[in-house]
Amino acid sequence: MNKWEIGFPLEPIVRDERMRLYKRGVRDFQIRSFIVSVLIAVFIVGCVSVQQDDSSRTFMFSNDRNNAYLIDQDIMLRQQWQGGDIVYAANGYIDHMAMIDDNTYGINNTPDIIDTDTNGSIRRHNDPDRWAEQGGWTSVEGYYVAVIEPSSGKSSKRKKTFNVGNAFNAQAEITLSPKLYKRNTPSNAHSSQLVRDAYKYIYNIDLAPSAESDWWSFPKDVLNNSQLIAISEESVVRS
Amino acid sequence: MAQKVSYSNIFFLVILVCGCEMTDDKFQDSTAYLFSNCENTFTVSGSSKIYLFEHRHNSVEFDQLAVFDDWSPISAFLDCAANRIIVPYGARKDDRNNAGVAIIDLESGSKLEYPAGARGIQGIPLKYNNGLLLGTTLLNQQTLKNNPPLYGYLPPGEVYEDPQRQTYRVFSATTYFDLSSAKFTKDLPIDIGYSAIQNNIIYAKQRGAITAIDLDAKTTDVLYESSGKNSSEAINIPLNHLGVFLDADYFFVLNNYSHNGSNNELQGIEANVIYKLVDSGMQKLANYSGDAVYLLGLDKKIYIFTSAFKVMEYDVETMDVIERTLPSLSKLHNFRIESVGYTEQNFILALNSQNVEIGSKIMLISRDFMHLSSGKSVELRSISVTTDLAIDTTNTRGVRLTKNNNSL
Repeated sequence: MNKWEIGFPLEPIVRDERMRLYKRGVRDFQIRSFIVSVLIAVFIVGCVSVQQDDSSRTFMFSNDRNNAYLIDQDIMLRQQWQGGDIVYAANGYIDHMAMIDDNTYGINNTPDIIDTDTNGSIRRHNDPDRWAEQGGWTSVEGYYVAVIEPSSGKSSKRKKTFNVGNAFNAQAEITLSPKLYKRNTPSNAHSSQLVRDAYKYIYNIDLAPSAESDWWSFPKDVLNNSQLIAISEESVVRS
Repeated sequence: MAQKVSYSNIFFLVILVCGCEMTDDKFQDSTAYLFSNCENTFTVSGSSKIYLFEHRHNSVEFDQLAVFDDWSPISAFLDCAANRIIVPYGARKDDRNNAGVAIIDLESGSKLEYPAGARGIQGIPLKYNNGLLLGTTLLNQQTLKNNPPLYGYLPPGEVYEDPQRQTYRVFSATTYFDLSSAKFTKDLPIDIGYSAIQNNIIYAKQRGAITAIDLDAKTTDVLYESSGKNSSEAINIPLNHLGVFLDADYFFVLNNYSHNGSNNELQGIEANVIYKLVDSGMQKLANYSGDAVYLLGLDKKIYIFTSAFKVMEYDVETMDVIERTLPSLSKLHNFRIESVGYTEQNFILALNSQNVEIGSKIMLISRDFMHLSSGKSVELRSISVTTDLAIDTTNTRGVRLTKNNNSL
């Protein structure tokens, strides 16, 4: 068997959700359903709009204009993501952390998102807006870290720059770390663990020095680092 | 005698007709089809729902046939022959590991989910030999020493070194979901972004290049290769451009959000121009006016939808540009075109409002731009419009599907 020809013996999941079917000619039902739907919709929209008004502004992904609803367009026009930028996403219940990969962007419509799944495996998403949509994140914020480059010519080590390979190498070091820690890592710590270790590996910066555990760090531990600078409409050009 | 023959003929005719009608009734009882004509159906999916619509024949008026709650589906489409909706999904809310393909049976309304495991699903589904080719998110590592990529392509700047100085590449595989067995049966080591398939060749917009991947010969032709953002000489295709594959050629236009310079500006390339990639370069085809918000390619024509609700129609063969205004749409304040699909008769416009309280609208325009339907409100964001002709999302414009004549 070709090594790429893999069978996946996963059993299907049966959902007992039922589709709502609308058939033509059932006027009474449609009218009553419509009135009830309108009343419910008015109620829901009234409730939700209060919450959504602020949260929708916090989306800052620029995409090929078709998802312009996500953000304030003025922000999008002046926004430019760079490789290694940190993305913090939250929905009021859980939060998540990722990084931007803008390498070979010349042909891609948008930069990619690098993050982990809840087992710590590293992933790459080629549509930031779809990634945010699927995660159900109500706020997505961008941050960058002012990185101080080593003086040239002094170091025998080659300068590391952000790319997915270096993030992958950082993740490999996590995998080689003591298994006791790794096995017991909470699922919501994996994403910030990748960000933290990538910055250690690439820039020798610990983004969560005050984390309670030297091993575990959660997205908010990284977020509380004073070195993180929010990407805003004033910070398009960064050093 | 003649009368007897005539009566017996009528008797047998009646029996025959009754028999035929009973057969029809039996067929109709056994399968309840919601739609009348598959070619007129279209699916609209987005943040949390899937809508199934059908427009009337030779008309822009349309009816809602079904609505289904589903979290963030990717380009759900109707499989008419099997009377079901196929729904690739990238994740379920709050569960980043949950991705796969769901199948909704239209007769019973039941839904079966076939998980893809932790690999994740992304991009545009490609119909292929009664199955789907789907991009995944999980990164795989492949060492390169004596182990070249099966399809012979390495994006520029995408070879990495581990701490032991061994070179490797990373890629997220393409997986194949076989609809007849409802199983993921193969993984291909191809990291495709958005692509179209034609005669067993995938035309793919990959990281750093546009390639033609021959699935039979397992070869890859590089049609265009980006030299990377750090190159001072080459002109890169701008970020946030709108692109479309049409008959294996890649066309693109720019808009207010496009840039390829370090300060968000355009360098060496013009706005309001239709470009085509030719011989690894960008060929300027024609000028147009307005800010492009959507690009569609079909039947030898490029359609540019603008923010002012104009449509520029560029004929690839005659190179003529026709500008059309949609005055009825221009009265829709605060709406933008989010996605465009098409059937043989109509364009399907998904309009999104900047005001979250208003929501989105679906409208149909006849392909000759003579008729416009009334709007239908839908509760969606990130809208994909999918028809029998085209799977479309917010990132791919009008990929025409081939008719299941491929094999894997």
